[in-house]
Amino acid sequence: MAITISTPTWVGSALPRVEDETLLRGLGWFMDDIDPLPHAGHAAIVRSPFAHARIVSIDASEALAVEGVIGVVTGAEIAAVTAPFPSVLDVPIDYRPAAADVVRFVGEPVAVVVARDRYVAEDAAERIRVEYEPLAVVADPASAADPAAVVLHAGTTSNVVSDRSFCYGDPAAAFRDAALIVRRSFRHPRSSATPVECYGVIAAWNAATGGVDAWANFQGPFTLHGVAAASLGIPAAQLRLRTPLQSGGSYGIKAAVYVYVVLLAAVSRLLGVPVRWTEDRGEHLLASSSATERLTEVAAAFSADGRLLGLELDLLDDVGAYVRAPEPATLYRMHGCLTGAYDVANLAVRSRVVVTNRSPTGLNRGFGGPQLYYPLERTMAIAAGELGLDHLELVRRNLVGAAQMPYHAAAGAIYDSGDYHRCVDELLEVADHDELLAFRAEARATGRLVGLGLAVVVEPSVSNMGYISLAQTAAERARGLPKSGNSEVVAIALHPHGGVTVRFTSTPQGQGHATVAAQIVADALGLQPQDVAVQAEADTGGHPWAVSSGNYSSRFSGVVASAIHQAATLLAGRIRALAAPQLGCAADAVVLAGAAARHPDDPDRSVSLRRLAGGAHWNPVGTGAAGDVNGLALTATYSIPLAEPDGDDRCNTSAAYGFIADLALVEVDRETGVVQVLRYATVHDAGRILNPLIANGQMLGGLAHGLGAALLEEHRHDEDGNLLTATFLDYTPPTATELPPIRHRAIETPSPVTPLGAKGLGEGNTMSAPACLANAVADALGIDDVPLPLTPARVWSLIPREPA
Amino acid sequence: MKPAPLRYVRPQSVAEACAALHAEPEAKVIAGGQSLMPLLNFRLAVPEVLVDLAGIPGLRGIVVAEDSVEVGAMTTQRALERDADALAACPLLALALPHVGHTTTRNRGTVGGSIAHADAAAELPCVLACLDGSVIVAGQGASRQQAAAGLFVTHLTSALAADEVLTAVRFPVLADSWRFAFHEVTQRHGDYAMTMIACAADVVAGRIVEVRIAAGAIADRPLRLTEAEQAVVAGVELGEVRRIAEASIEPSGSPHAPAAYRRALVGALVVRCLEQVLAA
Repeated sequence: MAITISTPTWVGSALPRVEDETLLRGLGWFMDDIDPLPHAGHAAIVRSPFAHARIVSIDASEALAVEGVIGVVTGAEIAAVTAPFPSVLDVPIDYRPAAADVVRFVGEPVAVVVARDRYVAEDAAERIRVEYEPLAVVADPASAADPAAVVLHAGTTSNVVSDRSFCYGDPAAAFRDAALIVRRSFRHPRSSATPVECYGVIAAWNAATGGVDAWANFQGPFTLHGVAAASLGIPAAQLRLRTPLQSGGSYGIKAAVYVYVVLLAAVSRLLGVPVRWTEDRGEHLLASSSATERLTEVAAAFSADGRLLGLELDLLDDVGAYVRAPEPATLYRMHGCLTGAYDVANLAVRSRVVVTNRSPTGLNRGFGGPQLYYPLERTMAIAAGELGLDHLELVRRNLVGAAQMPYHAAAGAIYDSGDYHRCVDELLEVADHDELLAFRAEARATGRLVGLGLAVVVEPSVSNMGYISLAQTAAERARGLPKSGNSEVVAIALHPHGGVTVRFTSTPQGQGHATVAAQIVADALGLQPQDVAVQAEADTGGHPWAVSSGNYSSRFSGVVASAIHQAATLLAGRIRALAAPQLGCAADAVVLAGAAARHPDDPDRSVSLRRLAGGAHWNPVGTGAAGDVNGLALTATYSIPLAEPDGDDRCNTSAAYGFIADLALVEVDRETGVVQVLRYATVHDAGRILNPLIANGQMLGGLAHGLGAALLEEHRHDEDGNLLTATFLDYTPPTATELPPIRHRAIETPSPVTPLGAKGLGEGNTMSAPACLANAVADALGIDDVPLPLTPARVWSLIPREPA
Repeated sequence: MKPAPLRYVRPQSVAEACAALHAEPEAKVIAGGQSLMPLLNFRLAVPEVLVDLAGIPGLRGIVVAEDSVEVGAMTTQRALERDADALAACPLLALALPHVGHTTTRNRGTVGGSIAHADAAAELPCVLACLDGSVIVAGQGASRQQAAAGLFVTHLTSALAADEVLTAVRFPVLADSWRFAFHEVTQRHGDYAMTMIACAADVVAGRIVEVRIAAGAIADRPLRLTEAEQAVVAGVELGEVRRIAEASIEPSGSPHAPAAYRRALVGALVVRCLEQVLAA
């Protein structure tokens, strides 16, 4: 009789994070804690106070006289030892890590001081005299796109540096046949992630090899490693980039630290000393990165019974002064799923990139999602009003159905799985929708401004590296290398004394990758999670990595987890093969449980993994391990099969697509404009949940970012391009006291494209919350135009008032 | 974001502190540092000498007397917030202190530091102005008492001379018939207010017979809304009091809070405060 050996299933369990004790005890090694080169000089960066100006002269003599100063490097000197950063756009924009002759945003580096410590460096930086000749400024996307505007980059004829149009299905026919066409304009403001830890870089140029050793709290994508090496003019293999064990958060923004890796490496080269730099909060808010501001024109065509027949989207993304890679990716990350959760085949899109005299943009949690769903979901709510339908009913009439999965969206996304209708049903239950309706009716009867908002979003995860080439025409793409990758590389080894080390390059910034990796490996090998040591930090000179590695597009639970699972499964196979002769059963039948290989039918016949590993290491011939060239250490690559964009510009821009439905009840204080979120409910379908505790934390964090963008956060500039929100007094991310009561539920429709059935889920609420809260405030005030962020002063100005 | 070079002195007595300030015209007193340190780090304040009061004995402590709550200048805001006797004697403090920054900043931020810093958007100066409180000031000669009226001169500027040190703050204790309210509107809890109103009212038989209304964050110093106060005591109805309050000020604007919005907040919060004291 076969016996059952109880094997705990770690995947899916709410295992507390293995990372946390280190953090709680203060034992983490963040960028500013590591000191691999104790003699490194400390850099301070001199930044432009002008949004657009010609540098007339730089006088560093006073700074050089300050005791403790090692040297000063100017942008022109940096330019002499760097090449422009490469870009997917074929336009003559010369972007370097420091400005050589023209500054194009406030905060752009113009010189670097290196001194024995940061205090001296800052003292000396104040003594550098830079003479500027101010130039005309274009401080917002609309005026920058004006053909009459001053052009920022010599060699270009317009600040609109990319202009692509796409057509899928027959949108013209859809609009011809429509009973209702809704046209609206939207502006998604610049908001930003604000991690606790800012950028940090240590760089050392080796004059003998011409190579660079660098440490930075970089988060990937590792495409940018190649971009950095190209700017440094060195072979990519000569740029060894390492990340510290811990990172104090990123949410996308630390992708752009690569620019400072190049800056510091160039400074190190010019001064002949290793250099380190820790960005301060002022620098971070001023000049690190942010989400794009996007201006969107939406036209939506509906039949009389509320079917969405066609969509036209005109998108204008302000990427700041330069097109810093991976921009203009914000425009294209969502391209395949621009139709959101709705079943509509006819889509016309115009995607334009405009440069302005503002800091360059980049990755930011949600990346392209908030910019899409705020216009799309507002348009649906407005259309419902015009059609005389309940918003919820209009959404239900247009949601992609479960039977349509896998669903081929108009622009090429293949929604892998999901039951959107069920999610909405469960949302109403989780939110107590009937209670909310009754509350709203009662409150309104007494004159209170109470509103309900709904938003439904498709959350892509695991980006197809090829999507960015949609910025090129099919003909341009055909001249280059086809791109479609998303892979991760995992090395796994069984130690001679038992225990496993697993290594990959997901560069976690607090997400809990080590916990989930340990869960996956423990399940595959019959171990406890604590038997698994996880190294997820980067070392391009030693760690396994792929061009698509890193921590972005919510790729961990989709592709990195798949790669870990694959590597652990391959290792399990080798362990079984080694154990089978000793157990006297077929390799396939060997059960791995309790840190041992076991005979399937006889619990007394087992051999511990420690013994198996010891034998293979110490006595390969005797144990039969000598015949296995791979041994008990292996490296494996996993990639979800995706295609490059096709000749018709269709692209499955991500590997997996989750779904989120949100409902919010808000009350607006008629006197003060303060928006109070009385209830927020959200239901996810992100496939199989690998760790519910971590998933819940991701959801809450994503929602906090979305709520901030909805109600509080905007980087504002004046007409001269000065940042008005340069400190945390003025740039106001939510804190715990601003978060509303949240009700959350996850339903699990496993993804067919990942072996564990999981998808990403860390960005969805960042995409949905601004749309949901905007809909709720619009409902509360009975108005259509609700610009973000919905700050008290702005909302106060929107409250309809009786004429005095 | 590092302070410019400076010298740091840590006097052992108030007299030593005053002497140090007298000797160094470009000196600055540091107490809890919760407002000053960011200004130093941004190099917006560049003193040559920092005179730290932390080493001076006797500047911490709360004395609840019949007519006042006297708070030593170096008493932390948190210590005052946790002193039940002080809060019972001066209930407006209980209403206002939770709005002062965050718990963690109140753990270090001092009552005297907040008053001496004279930030027009800070809660404690507004409370002191509302209550007609006073401060004790030590200088080269004998120490003196300075009334709240006249203490706050303009943005970050008090009536203290450069070589004077604020040693204690006196919050008056009012009769049992007084009621209190404090309201402010912020972007987030703990932020600088866009507008705040502190209100103390002597309510007899459901009628306000005396009232003090102070507004913060609308001018370069906390303002007493005397016209509104007079109107309330004269029995003017609340809607009209609101209009009088709004008309009596000329608020400055900021990107977060344009002037018209601040003016409307003043009216709304004054009414809110008065409704609250009348309902109490």
